[in-house]
Amino acid sequence: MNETKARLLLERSRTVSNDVLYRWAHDVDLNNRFPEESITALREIGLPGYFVPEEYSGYAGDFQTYWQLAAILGEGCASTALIWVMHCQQVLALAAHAPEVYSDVLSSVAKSGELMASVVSERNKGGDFFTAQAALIPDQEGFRMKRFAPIVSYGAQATFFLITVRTSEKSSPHDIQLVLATRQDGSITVEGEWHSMGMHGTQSIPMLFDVYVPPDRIMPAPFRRVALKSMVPVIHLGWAAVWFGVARGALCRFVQQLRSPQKAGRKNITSDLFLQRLSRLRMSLDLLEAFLKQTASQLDQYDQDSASFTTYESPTYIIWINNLKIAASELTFSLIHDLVTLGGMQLGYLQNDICGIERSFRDLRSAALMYSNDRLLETNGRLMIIERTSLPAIWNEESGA
Amino acid sequence: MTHLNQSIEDTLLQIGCKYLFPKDGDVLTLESNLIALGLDSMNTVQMLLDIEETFEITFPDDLLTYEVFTSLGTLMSAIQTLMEEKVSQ
Repeated sequence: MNETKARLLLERSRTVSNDVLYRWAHDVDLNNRFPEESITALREIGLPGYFVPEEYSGYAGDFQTYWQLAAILGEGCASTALIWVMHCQQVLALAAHAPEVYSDVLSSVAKSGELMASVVSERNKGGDFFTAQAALIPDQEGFRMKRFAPIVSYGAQATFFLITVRTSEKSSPHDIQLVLATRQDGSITVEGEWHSMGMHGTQSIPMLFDVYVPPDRIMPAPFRRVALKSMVPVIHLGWAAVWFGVARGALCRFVQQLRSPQKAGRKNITSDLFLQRLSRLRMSLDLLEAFLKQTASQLDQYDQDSASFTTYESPTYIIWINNLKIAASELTFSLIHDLVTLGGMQLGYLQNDICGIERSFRDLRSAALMYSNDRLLETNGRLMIIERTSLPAIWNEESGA
Repeated sequence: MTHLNQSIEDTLLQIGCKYLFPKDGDVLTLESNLIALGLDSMNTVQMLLDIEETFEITFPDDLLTYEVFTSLGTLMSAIQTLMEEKVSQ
């Protein structure tokens, strides 16, 4: 993606975030509904096709611009931004690993802005990305798949579903395939509602899938390769950027309010304590911004160098990517928590649209729970034990992992 | 096979069952390829720690290699060596 194109897209996204996403965020939250107006606005500037290759009418986007876009959208509406990055995760999986196989789908996503949802969750396993319970069952020329998913974000609005499923009924829970399903493939039904503390707009509902898919809907690239090379980094970078944007948006609005002639809530903005507390919030943002930039730059470099899979399997890389997610979820929630204190009852605690702090507090509370920080910390701890040994070399390209 | 070796093999197969997933009803044996049975970065660490705790040994860095982690059989040889070293110390 060239610089001019990226800058233009960032500018357009800034306008959309300010004029549409922020305008509707309060209403979406209040009425616990999908952000239809905001997603339409994203479609109008072609954002659903961000990772679609140019030959299929997409932007063929890079990671450095991606995180900035996610942050800009996050400033306006956390739910809309999160929907966009989750959609991007599915699109990148297809675009990076089997673009020819899914060319029709990718073209359709770029031209019509259709959404692609992820179906990972299952009863008794939660959202663990690297295991599956339901299995593909051979049926005539293709496969049948019957699967319940307790949480499918924007499932009622999605046109396409990228589903994790066991290769066969006799396969291990780790032997996973990615399968693309559409609404024409059988019965796809909504089984409940979304009642949550925050992130109302994501409408992450339970769904039941009973579909028949032809063999060419099964992702030809090995699941682990797709996951570690594309799906994990793009979602951790995207989530972290969205949360960063949510926190930055709330802080910016709060700071603007301090000097506004109609300022709501009295603040002694010359007090040492107030200024010190305020500047600490900025420090958290700056730390996180550096982490985001560095990660995006590294991922773009890997792409340019066509880095081998060993790079993505290395414990150091996995720990880094996991730490980005963990740090972002903790720093941004801590920031918004402190902003409630600074804002006081009027600006911080009350449900209003002046700074959106109360809504951001509820939205960001979910950050540590999404692909739970506890699980990621456990993974990182385990990987640290072998990080400096030669053990990681056993999962190299030659070993076929 | 000595009684001790049989015991190591049985224990190792039990540990292997926790982390390896034979396809389509295949039986786990000492010859089975570990990577093909689903050994990845996560469960390798788990299995390594489990083996070290069970046999009260520590794998030195020069044994944490692809060759040693090729199959349960190659792992068993390494465990036997480490246990013999422990006894002789």
